[in-house]
Formats: sequence, structure tokens, C-alpha cells
Amino acid sequence: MNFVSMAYAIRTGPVRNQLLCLAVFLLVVALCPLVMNDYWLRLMVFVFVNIGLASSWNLIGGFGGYASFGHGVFFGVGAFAGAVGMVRFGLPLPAVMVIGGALSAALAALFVPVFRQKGLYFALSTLAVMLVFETVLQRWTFTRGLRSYDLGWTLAPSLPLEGFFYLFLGLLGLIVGSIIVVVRSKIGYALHAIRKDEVLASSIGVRTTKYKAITFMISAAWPGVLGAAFAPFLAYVSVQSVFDVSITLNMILITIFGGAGTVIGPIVGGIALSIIDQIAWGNFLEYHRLIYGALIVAITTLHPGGLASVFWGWVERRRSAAKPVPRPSAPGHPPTSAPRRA
Amino acid sequence: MATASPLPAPLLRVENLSKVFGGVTALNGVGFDVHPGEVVGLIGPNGAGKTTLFNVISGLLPPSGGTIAFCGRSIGGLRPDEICALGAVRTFQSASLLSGMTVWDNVHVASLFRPAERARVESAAACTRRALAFCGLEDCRDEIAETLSIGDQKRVEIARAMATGPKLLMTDEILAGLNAADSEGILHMLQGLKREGISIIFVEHDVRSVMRLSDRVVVIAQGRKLAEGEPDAVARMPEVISVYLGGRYAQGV
Repeated sequence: MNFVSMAYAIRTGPVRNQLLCLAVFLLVVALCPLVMNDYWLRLMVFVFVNIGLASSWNLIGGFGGYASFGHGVFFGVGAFAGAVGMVRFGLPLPAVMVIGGALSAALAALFVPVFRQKGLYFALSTLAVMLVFETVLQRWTFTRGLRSYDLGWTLAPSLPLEGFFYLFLGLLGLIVGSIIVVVRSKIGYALHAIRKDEVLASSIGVRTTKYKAITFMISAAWPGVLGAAFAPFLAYVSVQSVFDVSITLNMILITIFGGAGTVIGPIVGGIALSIIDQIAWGNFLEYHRLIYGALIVAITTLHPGGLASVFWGWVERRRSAAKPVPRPSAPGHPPTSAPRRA
Repeated sequence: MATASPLPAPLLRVENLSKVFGGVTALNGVGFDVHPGEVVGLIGPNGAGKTTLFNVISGLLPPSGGTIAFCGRSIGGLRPDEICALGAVRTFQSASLLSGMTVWDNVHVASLFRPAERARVESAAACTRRALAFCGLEDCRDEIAETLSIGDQKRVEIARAMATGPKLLMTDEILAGLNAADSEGILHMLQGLKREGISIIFVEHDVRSVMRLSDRVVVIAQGRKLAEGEPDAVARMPEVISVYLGGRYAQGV
């Protein structure tokens, strides 16, 4: 079996094979601490968090077609849950991770009325909600807002660097694994129908609001968990550091660069953008932002489906070259979000 | 003792239905019944309000006035998915398949989201298989839906509607753009659905097909019901000929 047919078989095959692939990938990455120094391990943690956040965003933004521009709020709420929980209440890390995820999911449930809106209006509403929360956390004494406490929280790192490396690698595995399962489930079918034609979806019996809400809650819970785990790693949590608008922008950029609406997209995008970032920083410090931005514009203009669509386009061409009858691929959409039955 | 009424209770009863968009009255006091297993043809000039009527019955638009009862239950203002779950499903004027999905998946979406009582009787996969077999689509189940011919795409739409387990199917110009052979195939399928006891509201501009398939024809024009009756009788009504059919059709019948 050559590479092309193997890649195709994994994409269209049963969920079990995709999870197996993920497990192999995680195992290989898990060997990194044997050969890497602290600088690279720290960098890898940031890459894991970025991929985890982008994958979560991808669930509602890519698969569901509802671009949230305030998704950073869930990471921020998680980070504050971690900081407040560990410092003020002395809770262990696993407990604050669960609390961070639950708080974010509960917050996402409040968004349900916003789902009446579509496109730009939905994006702007989510952005507005994030700004509201940023202000609340800045002013609220419980979260050490400006008024009566010091700004921000200082945490003792509760794990060694390798510990954080494996913690975030494990979380990444859980996040991507859950997305593989979700997009091949009934929810995945609902999301595909909603993204393609929401009116049609509801006319054939899909309870669109329910499935959008479930998806949004899953896609909010994971950033909450990541944020809570990130608090002791960062060792300092403040509104400026965890509510930065660049966190949301990164989720969107990584997803679109890699391929929105595909499981592999945010993983490829997160790795590729980190590599580009490193090279640009190291070699062209003054033009770093320019190079980074130009590459993103180039890829998204030439290949709106992102790097994943470049790859799958190549696979499809190789497959149709190998077969006498060409089989047209789905135009403009990388077809991983719904299963094919063979 | 009360005697049984000559007709069974209507499956769908539309009474005095109106729909107003701003200052435009799209539907004005429309009323008709659809009985179980009956095919009702709905004809009228472009802009008469046929699609608006479908949009209101299927829950995409709230009615401005009047009542819609389905299986004896008022459905005005329910969500489209609730109305679909009760057993009234529609097709759309432009072929509306989910792009990037196979034929199987397009139909399977509908099977997956059937209400629980129907899902208990038959598994989603079995339901999809049955709908595909009924529409003669088993051979192309793994094709990407939008790569099929228009005729086959319409079959997929009917298969998807069937998979929801409908009591009432509303087809909106399902024959538009089809050649004679494809049209014939679709008409045969609709007759098959009728034999299975499914009621159909058939909106179509091809009057000969409407007259052939329908048990009863409702004519609407400018948002009002103009006429209703047996196909032959409606085709002879002077007012129907003048607003819609034209003199040539009347002579041809």
C-alpha cells in the first residue's frame, strides 16, 4: 500500500484507524524530551496549546461554519479559574482543570441566544462578549481586579518542565481525539448540514440550535481546560496576559492556514506557523511580522482550504491519475467531516 | 348514532392563511385540505405565493394569520425540524443537496435525525438503505452528490425526504430542468409514494404532469385561492384558463 492510498484510507476509513494514527503521532512526539533542551520543550508546549486551542475553535468555526471572534474568553476564564483556584483555594491542578472546562462550557451555554445571528453578526457578538468579560475580570475584586488587590496572580509552577510537556501533549491528544469522534458522530452530520445549508438542515429534521449549542460548549470547554493548566505553566496570570486578542486571532489563523473544517488542519497549521515564526524570528527579526503575514495571505489566497487542501488535492490527483475513471473531489471543501460508508 | 363521515379527517388543514411581508400580501386567506394518501396539485402563475405557502407550512416563515393543522395539531409557528418530526417534509426549488457529501450521507442525515419513536422501529442505516433502494440509487451511493446528473440529484432529494418518514411530502417544482425521461422517472416514484399512503402537495409548472398525478388541484393567483377541484374540472374553468393555463392548453385537453 503506497502513501497516497494509505492517506486516503485513513481519511475515509473508520474512526478507530484515525485514533490509532493520532496515538502513533503522540508516541513519536513523546520521545522529544530525550533529545531536546528546555528551550525547545518550552516552545513545544506553546505549540501544543496553540494546536489545542485552534482545534477547539475549528469545531465551531470550521466544522460548524460559525466563526467565533471571542473564543479567547474561554481560555482566559480557564486561566483565571486555574489561578484563583490554586492560589486562593489551594486546589490541585486536575481540579482546577475540570473547573476551568466546566466554567467555560457554562459560559458558552449563555451564548445560545447569539446563535440566532449568522456570519459577521455572530462574530461581532462573540467579540463583544469577550470584551465584557475582560472588563469584568479587570474590575472584580474576587479576581484581583484593579481596585483592591494587586493586579494579577503569581503561581508556583506545580510541575517540572517535562511534566508540563506531557500534560499538554496528553491534553492535545484528548482534544484531537474527541474531535475525531465528534465529527464522525451524529453531531458531525448535523454540523456538516448546518454549515452547508442551515435552512435545509432544519427542514430535514436537524435541531440546529441544539447541535450548535452542544458543539459550542465542547469547543469552549477545551480552551477552559487548557487555560487552567496553562496558569501554573505561565506562572503569572493577568487580564493582559490571558485575555489578549492575539490568542483568539492565533486560533483563527492557525485553523485557516492549516485548513478549516478538517481534523488535521489545525495540527498542520500550528506546526507550520511555529516553524515559520521561528525561522523568521531567527533570521529576519526586523521583517518577522511582514514575512509571517505575507505567507498567511499567500496561502489563504491561493488555497482557501489551507495546507490540508493542498495536501488532499495532491492525494486526489495522484489517485485519479492511478485510476482510469477520474473521480471529482468536492470543490472547495476538504471532505473529512462526514464519514463515507464503503 | 353518528355515521362515519364520507372522507377521513384531513391530514393537513390550511384555513384562512395569510402572510404579509411589509406592505406586500403574499398570501391572503388561503385555505384547503389534504387527505391521507391524496395528491394535491398546486398551480398558479409565478409569484402567486406557492413557495411562500410551502415556507409557511414547513415552518421557515411564521404565518401572519390563519391556522395550519397537521394530524389535528396546530403547527403554525413551530420550528421546521419540529414540523419535519411530525411528518411533513418538503423539497426545495433549487436542487439543495449537501455538497461534499456522498449520496449515502445526504440521505443518512435525514435518517439520523428522525424522532425517537421512528428510530426505534428501524435503524438509521436500514432507513437510508430502504430510501436509496426505493429511489434506485444503490449503485451511486458512494458518489459525491453534486456530481450526479440533475435527474439523479432530484432522486436524492426525494430519497432524503423519504428517509424522514413523512406522512406528507411537499415537492416544489421537482420536475424543473429535467428531460422527459427523468421527469417520467420522478413521476413514477411519486406515484409509488402515493401507493405507500404518503400524501403529496405537488407544486409544478408542467400542467400535464400536475393533471396526471393529482387527485385534486388547487389554483392560487396573487396570494388567493382562485379555484379548487378535480383536475379536469379545474382545467375547464374559464378563470383558471385566463390567468394561468391560457387558451391553447384548454383546447389541447
